[in-house]
Amino acid sequence: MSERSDEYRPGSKEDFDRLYRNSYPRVYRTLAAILSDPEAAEDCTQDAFVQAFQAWKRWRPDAPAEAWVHRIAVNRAISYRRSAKLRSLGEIVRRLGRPSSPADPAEVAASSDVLTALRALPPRLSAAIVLRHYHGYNNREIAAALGVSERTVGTRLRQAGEKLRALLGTAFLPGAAGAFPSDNRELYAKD
Amino acid sequence: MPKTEGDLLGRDFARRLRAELDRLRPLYSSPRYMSPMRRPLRFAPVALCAAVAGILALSGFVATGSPNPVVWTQRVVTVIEAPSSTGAPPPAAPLHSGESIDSRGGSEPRESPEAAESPEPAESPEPRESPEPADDHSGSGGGSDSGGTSGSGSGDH
Repeated sequence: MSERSDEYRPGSKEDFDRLYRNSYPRVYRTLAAILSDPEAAEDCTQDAFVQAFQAWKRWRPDAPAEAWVHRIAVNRAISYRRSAKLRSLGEIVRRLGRPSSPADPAEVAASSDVLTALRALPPRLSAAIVLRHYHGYNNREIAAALGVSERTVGTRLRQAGEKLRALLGTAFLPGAAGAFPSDNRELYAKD
Repeated sequence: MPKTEGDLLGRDFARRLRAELDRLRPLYSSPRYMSPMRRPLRFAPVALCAAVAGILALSGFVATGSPNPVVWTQRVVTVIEAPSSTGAPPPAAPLHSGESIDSRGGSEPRESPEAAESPEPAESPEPRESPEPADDHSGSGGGSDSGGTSGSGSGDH
């Protein structure tokens, strides 16, 4: 985690600004791993900070501030994904105000393995994976961020690992020569 | 021993995940929580409560004609208690007109037979029907009669 929770004072506007500067990119990337749309990830991140700011006076420093914001943000992303299933494509375009910019084919190719597999998982599982493997949270911090018990965190991480292995195939077997297909071009040549 | 998620995914997964997520750059738009558009909403609950209280006060004043909240509450209590007292009797109550009418305070006063015949507590008959008290001095009266006759008879002779 970037900063210790005891460096923030509940209700302090300056501290919340600092929390925003430090945590906004990290929270955004967490949601970007959950949501396939980068603009939706940014929108949900902003909403999460609005909610956090409204409750900032009630924040208790027994949990890290960034984990607390993550909890709000992940819940917001889950709500977004649930409602996105019910929306038509036209409604999504109208809500965002403009159509999504066409994705860069190179970027799509590069992100087609890990992020695509993560976004195919249920959001609670993908959030646990990102918090552990990207942010380096331990089980206790993940539990605080997701609002579940540490045992549940262990269960979710194990389930997510199994699903990712199934989605990504043998590329992520421990000790495999090529962890990712994009790392070893010769594998593609052989195929 | 069950495998952990680290065993399942391997170290390369974390490295690749970091590389891909670090490539994502947020737009760093201005913080939405600082937007003044949301500030008035902070007072929305207070404004709503004040509006409801004002409407209640106005309707109370119109209904009772008094600005005193105590009068409003008394009016509410009477309005609530009146239907609850009239609604209590069962549907068969009108058949027993005497009883139902008695229970209603606003109905015309009508004497029910029971009410008319209800006597005042009957006094015990013993005191009234008590025999005339025997006069201790009655013997003089009786004696006078008998004595008179006897005296007169003896006097005629």
